[in-house]
Amino acid sequence: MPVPKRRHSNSRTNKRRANWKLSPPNLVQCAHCKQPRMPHRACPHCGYYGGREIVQIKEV
Amino acid sequence: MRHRKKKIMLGRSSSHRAAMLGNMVTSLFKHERIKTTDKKAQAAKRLAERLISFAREGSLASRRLAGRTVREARVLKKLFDDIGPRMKDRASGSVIVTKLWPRHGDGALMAVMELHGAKMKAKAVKGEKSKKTAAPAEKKQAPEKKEKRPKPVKKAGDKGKAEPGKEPQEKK
Repeated sequence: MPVPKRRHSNSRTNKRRANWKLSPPNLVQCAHCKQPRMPHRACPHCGYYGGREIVQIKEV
Repeated sequence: MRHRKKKIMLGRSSSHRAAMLGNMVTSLFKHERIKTTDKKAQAAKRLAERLISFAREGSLASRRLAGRTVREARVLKKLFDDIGPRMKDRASGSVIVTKLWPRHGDGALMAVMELHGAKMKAKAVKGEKSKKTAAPAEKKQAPEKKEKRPKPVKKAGDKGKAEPGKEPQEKK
C-alpha cells in the first residue's frame, strides 16, 4: 500500500482550505411584498409566487 | 437497457414507491392541493399528469387503467367527471408544483402541488385580523438583520426590509 512519506503541516492544510469559500444566496425581490426571497420559490413572507397566492402564511 | 433513464427513487422499494405515489395522487385529486417535499412532488406529478391524460380521453379502458392507481372509487369518478373535462383543452401542465422552503426537522425542501385552477380555501377573516397585529413586529426585527447581511439587501433593492431566510419559519 502506498502511504504518505511525511506528515504535512497544519499550515499546508490551512492553505489548501483557504480556498473553500461560501457564496451568499442569490436573493431576488418579491414582486408582491418587496421582501427578499429565493428565486424559483414561493415568497416566505407573503406566500405568493408568479402573481398567485400559493400558501397562506400564518402571521404570528 | 435502462441507460440514462432517470427515475425518482425516493429511497423506497418499487412496491413501496408505487403505493405511496398512488396514495399521494389520490389525495391530490381529492383535495386539489397538497403539500409534500419537492422530490416527492416531482415524482407524483409525472404520475398525476398521466392519469389526467387518461381522464381527458375518458374511455372505459382508460378509466380502468387509471383505476389501478387511484385508490378510491369516488376520487376516480371525480377524476373522470370533473377534473378530466376541466383539463380538456390543456396538452399538459395540469399539475403545478411550486417550491416553498426547507422543512423544520430535516431541512427537506417542501413544495405545494396543485391542480391547474385550484382555488385557495377562504380563511380571509382570520388572516386579516392577525395581519394587522403582526405587521409592527416585523418592522422591529428588520433593522437588526439588515446589518448582518448587507449584500442581499442591496440586490433586493431599496424597498426590501431585509430579513431573509430564517424569518418565515418563525412565522409558521
